[in-house]
Amino acid sequence: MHIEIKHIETEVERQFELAQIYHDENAVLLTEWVAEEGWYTLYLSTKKELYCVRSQLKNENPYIVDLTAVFPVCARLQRAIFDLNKVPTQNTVDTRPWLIHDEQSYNFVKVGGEGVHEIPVGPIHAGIIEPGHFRFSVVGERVLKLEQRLGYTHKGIHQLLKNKSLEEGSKIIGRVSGDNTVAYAYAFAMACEQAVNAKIPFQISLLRGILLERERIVNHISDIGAIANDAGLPTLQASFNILKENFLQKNKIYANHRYLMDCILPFKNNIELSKLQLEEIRTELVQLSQRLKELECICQTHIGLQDRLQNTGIVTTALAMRLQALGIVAKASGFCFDVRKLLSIYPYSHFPVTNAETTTGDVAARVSVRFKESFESIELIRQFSRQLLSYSEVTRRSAVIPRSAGFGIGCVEGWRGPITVIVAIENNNLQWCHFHDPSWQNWPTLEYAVLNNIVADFPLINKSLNLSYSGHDS
Amino acid sequence: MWNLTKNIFKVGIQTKNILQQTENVEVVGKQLAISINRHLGRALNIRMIDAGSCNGCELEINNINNPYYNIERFSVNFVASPRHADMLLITGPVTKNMREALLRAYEATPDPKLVVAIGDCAHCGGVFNSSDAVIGAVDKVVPVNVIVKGCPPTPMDIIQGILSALS
Repeated sequence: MHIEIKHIETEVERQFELAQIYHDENAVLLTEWVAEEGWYTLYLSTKKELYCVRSQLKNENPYIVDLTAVFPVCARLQRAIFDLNKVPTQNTVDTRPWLIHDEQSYNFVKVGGEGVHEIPVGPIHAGIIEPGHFRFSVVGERVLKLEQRLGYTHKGIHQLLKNKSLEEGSKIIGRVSGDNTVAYAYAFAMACEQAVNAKIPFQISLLRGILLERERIVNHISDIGAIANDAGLPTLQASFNILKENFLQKNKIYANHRYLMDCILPFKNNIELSKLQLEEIRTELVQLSQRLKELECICQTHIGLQDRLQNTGIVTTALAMRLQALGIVAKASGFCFDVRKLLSIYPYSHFPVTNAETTTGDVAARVSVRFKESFESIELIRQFSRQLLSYSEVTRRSAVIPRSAGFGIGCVEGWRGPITVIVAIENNNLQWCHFHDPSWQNWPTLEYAVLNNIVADFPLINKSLNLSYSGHDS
Repeated sequence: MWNLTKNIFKVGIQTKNILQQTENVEVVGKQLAISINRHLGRALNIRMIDAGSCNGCELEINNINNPYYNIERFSVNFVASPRHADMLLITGPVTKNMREALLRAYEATPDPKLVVAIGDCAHCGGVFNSSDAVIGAVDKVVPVNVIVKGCPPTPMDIIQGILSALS
């Protein structure tokens, strides 16, 4: 039931060559990081395998090589590596700090020419959202360039996780990005279980699947509502928010937490659902599904809304592939990459998901993917709960823990995209832990999605991606 | 458009259901409206500042505007600029990177300003308190009037917190 990992050892200099080979095999780079043992890169291939490449760093003047030409996400990842580990990248162009903001000035790229002006936005935005800075270069109404500066919510979590117990670690990692808490805790548990080779009972995996899909549904509903609001329809958002609040109140009843925090722990779950509650969930979802279909019909037939959503903030398939976008952003652009399908881990190995794919890549496409995925998640929860009900005993059983040290990888398709967590465990404590949010890949996508759109459409486009600041800055 | 209009009539006003659904939003809300009217004689303007949170608290602050709680009917208004605000809602363990922005927003808010720290992280740094990259509790950076605990606090807790800052 564990993820298949191919471990590869190579010299630092050879990593570029390997990156090219994996790129040609249509693999994506999930993340890269530096730990005590060296520099790691992690790839997910379409052959349903994970490649974990490790290179030992030199003791004196260690460095890593620049993979940006093959995998653009590395441009920011390697700046973060320098900030956090003080390991520089050889021959890199951009050496500006990324996560640590010690220096007062930051050199934004200047756009010249007649009539070009800049609009600086943030770090505190004009709404109830997270902080980050956007620098627009604009001619008239049109956006010529957007440059982001992130890192404002940097909380030093990678450093904080060192030498923590698995329980403490799980609590912290569940707060890397609050709206994605289930996916993070799930991926962390998966990594820990793999590290010590613990086998997880089916009941535990099924319940985790239910929680993960519930998180997907609530975020998708909320996002579609917020997009409608940004297109000038607050009454429509209100309808989505009613569904969301109902759903959150149910979460509170089932799991004693509205956002399902701290429900998943390594080797066990912190909650259990009775047979009665499983039946109740099934009834709840029938009603939700019916209501959501009505709202989907309203969205699709509202010409004013569609006029705002269609052809706005287009991310073409080619662009999504080049930037290696992940999750809903990629799916809306016809670049479908779903960990639930690719890694086939129970319960997803037995209850396959279909492609919620569209190809237009505009805001309307990202709304449509959210609807499709919500309906699919409803169906998955119904299947998982039916399966759980077929067991004579649905309650909690912890897994046996065979050893106290090891290296493990967990990867889960959160609602934004794949959440990856890697752990090295020693004496039942975290030696180190690396985690990665798909927002790393998707933030640069936003810089391209707004090009040639008008400034007034930026909130709509931004909302349609709804990326995590905290998950990225961490 | 016709479908949307039909939907508006079909759904109706949801705040009516609150008495059965959640604890006394009506009661606390009415007290809040009275208090706002007495102290300000107009709407209470709030500016929300995320000083480094995990975004969990923002989710719940957003929810106090949903049709169940609908805090706007008690004369509470979220504004885009600290210069227009009577009250700041601040979340997160304050990160080193957000310190200056928080201070500048605080200074830009006209006196007398009220500050409500939302969530365990804003209260004491939460699970992130021992990290080198965070300063921690909000009151280490700006004066705080009321603390709302919780991870994240519920919409009711937040409404209650806003009320107690006014009394």
